[in-house]
Amino acid sequence: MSRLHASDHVIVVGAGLAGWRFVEALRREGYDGALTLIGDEAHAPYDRPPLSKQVLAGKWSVDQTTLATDERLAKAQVTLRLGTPAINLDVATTTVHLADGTLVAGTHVVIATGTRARRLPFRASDRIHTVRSRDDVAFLNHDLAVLEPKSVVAVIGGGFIGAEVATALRTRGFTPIVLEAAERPLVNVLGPEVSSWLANLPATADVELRNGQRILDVVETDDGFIVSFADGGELAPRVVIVGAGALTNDEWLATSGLTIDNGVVVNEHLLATENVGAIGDVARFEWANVAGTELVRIEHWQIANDHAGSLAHYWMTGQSPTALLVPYFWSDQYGKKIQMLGHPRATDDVTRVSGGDEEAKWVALYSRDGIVTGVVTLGQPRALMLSKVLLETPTSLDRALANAPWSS
Amino acid sequence: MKVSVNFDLCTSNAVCMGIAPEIFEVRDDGYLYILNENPGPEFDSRLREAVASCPNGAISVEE
Repeated sequence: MSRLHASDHVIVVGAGLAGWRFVEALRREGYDGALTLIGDEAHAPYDRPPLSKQVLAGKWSVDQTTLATDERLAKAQVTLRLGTPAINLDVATTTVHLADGTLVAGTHVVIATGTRARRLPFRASDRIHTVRSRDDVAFLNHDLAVLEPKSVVAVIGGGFIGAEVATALRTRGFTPIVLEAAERPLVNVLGPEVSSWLANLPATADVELRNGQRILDVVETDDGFIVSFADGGELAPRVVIVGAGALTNDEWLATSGLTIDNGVVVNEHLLATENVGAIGDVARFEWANVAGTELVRIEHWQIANDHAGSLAHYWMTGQSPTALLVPYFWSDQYGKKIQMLGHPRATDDVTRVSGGDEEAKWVALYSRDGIVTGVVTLGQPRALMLSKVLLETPTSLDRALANAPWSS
Repeated sequence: MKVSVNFDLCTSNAVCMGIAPEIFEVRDDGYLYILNENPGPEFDSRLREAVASCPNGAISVEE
């Protein structure tokens, strides 16, 4: 039973991957009513993962990240409102208020406003780069263009973005120094064991990583910056980039009456109300998985993609996917590919089933209460995908070890 | 449908293999192989999912 009709008007707020893929999915499902896509950036929808990888490394032009090409836009028959942030949502009338003072009234609203890069409260904050948007990369490239080869660039944060950025900078001949606050990168994401197996990666790519760095401030000088540390030390990079996680873009919904709690809280169908849904990075959704059901917000490219298709299908047919959603994540860093299936916790038990400490290839199983909750691999895409079955139906660690699907 | 992969864009994430292993296989050599370039209509929905899910947009299908 379709919940959408030709007389409806679906408003999508957020023109990133989730919003754009929702537009495409809804048309593919046969929706022929009005469709409006609102975005705060001036650019037509584009893809973010390549920005910190291929684009920053100089291998792709920024245009290669475009998702909404002219041809696809024409096919989607969507009204674009770009460069106009939404500032409020009236849930009762499904009306979106824009920063330019205009109102967009519809019958259904999809919230896909995603996240933004977290900024750190240093004195030079306005001059410190992040790598989240096309404009961010343009601004960074502008500052990098005047640097001599081997110039020192400080990368604050050794997580996924920091590592990818450092890799790209090294490829371009600069000297990135990664400043990580924790005892080592990703320890709070992948846990102590798996993060320790990655500890040597930066060195293999000729990137300097400094762990346990407590930064007091960053100030601008005539030809760069001074980073000062709690132990009294200083570093004088020419450019500073921060990769310190993301914040949800949900402030505009503060007075909407929707439940906002680390994102927009939605049910298993991705709905906050019958006519208002949330998808992608900003959605805190009920996720049915092998270990039960939990409320999660997952900032993965594939989740945004998957949510878009699921909500479009639900609104057109009344049906949600029957298969469990298996989150997928990847990062290309220091010349290696880290991949993850599932959404394991840093506190889960870890069993390495292939590879050794000194190897640049391994497969790790995460488990909680004896049930497999995730698979993380380094340089083993085949083994990872062969292991997907472990997360499609609940599988005990014992049975996983006996069947060893990663080696088939 | 006719399946093709732009191998200049493919980085062997193997997401397609996770969705349609009958058509896509990343082998131990780290490269992607197309096992069936002309799959039947029973694969249509999974092929579309593979196209949309490729992180590099490397897969295309012709109706």
